[in-house]
Amino acid sequence: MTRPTAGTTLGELERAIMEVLWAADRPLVVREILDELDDRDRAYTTVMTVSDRLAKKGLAVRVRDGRAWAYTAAATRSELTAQALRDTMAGWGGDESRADVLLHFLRDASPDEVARLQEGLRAVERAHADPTLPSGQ
Amino acid sequence: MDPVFLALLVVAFVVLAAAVPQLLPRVTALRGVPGQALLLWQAVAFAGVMSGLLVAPLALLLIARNGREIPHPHQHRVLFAIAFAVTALVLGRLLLHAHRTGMALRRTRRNHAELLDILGQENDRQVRVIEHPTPTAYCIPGRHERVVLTDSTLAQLSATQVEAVLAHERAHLRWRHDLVLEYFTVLHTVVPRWLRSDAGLVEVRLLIELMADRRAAQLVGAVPVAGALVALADGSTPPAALGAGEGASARLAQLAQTRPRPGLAALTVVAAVLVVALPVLLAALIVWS
Repeated sequence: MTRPTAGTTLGELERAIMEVLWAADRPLVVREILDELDDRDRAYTTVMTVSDRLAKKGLAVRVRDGRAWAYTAAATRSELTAQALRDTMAGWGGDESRADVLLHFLRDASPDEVARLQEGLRAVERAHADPTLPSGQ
Repeated sequence: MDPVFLALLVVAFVVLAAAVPQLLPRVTALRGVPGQALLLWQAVAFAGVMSGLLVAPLALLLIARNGREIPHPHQHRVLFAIAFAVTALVLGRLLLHAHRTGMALRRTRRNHAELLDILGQENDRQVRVIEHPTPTAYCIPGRHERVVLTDSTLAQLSATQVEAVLAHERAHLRWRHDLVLEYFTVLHTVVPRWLRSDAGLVEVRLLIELMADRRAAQLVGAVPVAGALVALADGSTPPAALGAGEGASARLAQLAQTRPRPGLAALTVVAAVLVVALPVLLAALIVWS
């Protein structure tokens, strides 16, 4: 019974499980996670493996619940997002060989040069003022 | 005349590895032809490495040979071993460093892409929008390529400006600018810290941005690209990395240029060819003179 839906890759299952953990107000055991997933055809063992993987990555925390493990989100989505962006801006701990892990649209402007940049923008607008050219906006 | 050419090869190495990376960024006219300028930078780096690697074997040849006769290595085992060891050491160090840098880059990119797949709202296969008050946009290159935007970017930029940002990032991904940067990063960081200058790497980064800007301007116009630059600069945090300051202004200055520069482009390509030919020519003169 294969359905051609999204949510078939490992990454998408990780994402779906994190959504469940973020929505929950207490740690959930694998059976409970499975019940909350939209796609209920998932194998129990797959959900268990992926939940464990999320715990190893530090995205989820594993706690004992009787004889089973229960999982809870390590941080809220916005906390994790802030952490991820902090990593990109801090250049991964200043390791210079990893300085170009990502290509930022703009990586080296300082707020105090904005006035100068406004002037530069006006120069671009003047240069492309010809109405026959694509002027955006 | 042999020793003269060998000395010239050593000079070429020093000039290409140390002087040119300091001086070439001052030729700001090259920013008008960023693709050709990048070719020239790659030529300089390649010729520098070639000169460095050729010095030891050619010095050996110079010492060992008798007139025009090239002697059999058996007659000069010790010399041969020394020259071979020097070249192997330099090359090995370079390759090991390249391997380590590549592994670190790929691992960090993969982890970051996996994290974003969990955090992001999926728009299409390649774009991830994450919720954060800082307007920022970037791409994760390589096998897990993604374009990442914060929701505040979408809120602050006009629709055409967002198109411009996406076109810019897609140009980086399509032209594999990450590989160009990786090449220069490896060559830059393999040099001892006290000996190298950051100016070359900073300029190469700028040229890559200019290429992507140019592509975005072709697709959606220069004004939205410039507008997006200013809007994102306004909301950005102070830079932590090297080379802060001039990038955004230099990019705006190029976006204001409307005149094509075919003459300068051709001249830059010719210069690149000559630079690559230099160590080859010197080596040939040593071997055959």
